[in-house]
Amino acid sequence: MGYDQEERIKKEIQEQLSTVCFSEERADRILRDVHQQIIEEDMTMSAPVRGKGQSMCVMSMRERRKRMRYNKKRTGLVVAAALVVMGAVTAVAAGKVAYTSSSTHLDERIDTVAEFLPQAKASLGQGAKILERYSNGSAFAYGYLIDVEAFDDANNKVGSYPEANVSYTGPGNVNLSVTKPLKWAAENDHYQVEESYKDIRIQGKTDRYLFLPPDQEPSEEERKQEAEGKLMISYGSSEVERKEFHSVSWREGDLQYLLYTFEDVQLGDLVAMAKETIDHAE
Amino acid sequence: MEDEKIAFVKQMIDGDERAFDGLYRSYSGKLYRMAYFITGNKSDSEDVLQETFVKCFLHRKTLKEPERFESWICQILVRTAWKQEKRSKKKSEVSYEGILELGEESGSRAAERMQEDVSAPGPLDQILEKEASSELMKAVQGLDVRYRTIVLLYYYNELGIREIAQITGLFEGTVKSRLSKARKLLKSALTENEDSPGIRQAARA
Repeated sequence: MGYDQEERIKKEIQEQLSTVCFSEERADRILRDVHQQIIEEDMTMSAPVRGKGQSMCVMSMRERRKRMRYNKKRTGLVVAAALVVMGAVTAVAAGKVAYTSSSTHLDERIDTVAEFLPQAKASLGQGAKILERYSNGSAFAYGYLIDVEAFDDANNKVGSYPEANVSYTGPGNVNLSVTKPLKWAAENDHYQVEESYKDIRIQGKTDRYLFLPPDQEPSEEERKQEAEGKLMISYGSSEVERKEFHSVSWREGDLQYLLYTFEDVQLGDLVAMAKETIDHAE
Repeated sequence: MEDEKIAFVKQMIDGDERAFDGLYRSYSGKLYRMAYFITGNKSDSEDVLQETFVKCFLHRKTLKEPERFESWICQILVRTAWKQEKRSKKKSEVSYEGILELGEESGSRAAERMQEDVSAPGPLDQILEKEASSELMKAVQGLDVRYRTIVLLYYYNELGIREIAQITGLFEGTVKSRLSKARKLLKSALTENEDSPGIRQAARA
């Protein structure tokens, strides 16, 4: 595109937006609403992004206790949402396993890779390849060590296995899950990406997910799509959500690695991260 | 970012509400316009602006580098606006009230304005420019919200690919490809209008 047209687009957009009126009166009103909402939200908000020991200036002790209870509930749901995916993998893996379940709490969060690595090694029974930073800018934000419980169709617990789960901030907000599964997954899934790298098979796919509140049922069409393997349905969210889940997985030794995200990311980008993980020394 | 603003940000992180109000006064106008560009209507833009500053204060401790405040608050705004846009989309509420008014100015009013100022760019040039600008804004309006956001950050905020990727949470490659697609569309909106039969007829008259 020519320089003139680039300049013209810039000028046009800037001029058009400069005509959008934001009066002082309106600014004042919104600021008052902001103050009010801060007081209200500080009483009830969940705080996955609020670190330990941060000051909570507008809060009484009673309010703080209320929030702590809420945090745990919320965190359980968030992690459960992530684990639904592993449930789908393990269901095929162990044969008898119908689903998996787990939850954790904010205070079990580990905020540095230096602290996380030895604890992950102890939990998994061996060292895992967990990077502090990828070349695309994704950086270790925090990690959880999880004990995943597997259940059969009759809701009987058939076993459990450890998982080290890391959240990365940066492009795509990618998560890395490292597990030592009960059995290896049968390889009959359809993958959009399959690649061999250093004799390791990397497989990637995009699945459609529907998250439903516990009291809500899927439609007939959604059930049909689920039966055909075109839609994954998960229960327990606070509202109906439809998302695309992008993932790549591979095995190394006794460990299963899974890089995944619900953000708008290309599988090729996840494959590049997988290769960087494989290249990383434990 | 100016030293004075960085000092405000540091005070805000420590919980100083006056500093927070000062930052609101400095940034709310620009952020409101950005929200408007993404959501397409005033009501949603106000909600997005309010929510952005609420999150800004409540999550202020997560901002580790005060000098990156602008980028950080843009990130909050963009994510909040996307959520808002998604909610509005469900209700089919997206509109660009007002923003196209300039482009939709009636022919007679345009002619009056031309008579007032015949010195710099010629009357026909003005019509052509105005038509093209209207088409451009329509093309922007027709973009998917994520493409629209990239256009906004690139042309309005004048940010680079890396910074846009950080704000939107997308890979740099994704930002580049989306910007390229959006550019093609905007370019065709500019050129198609210049080639339209009506304008050519006017040019001949």
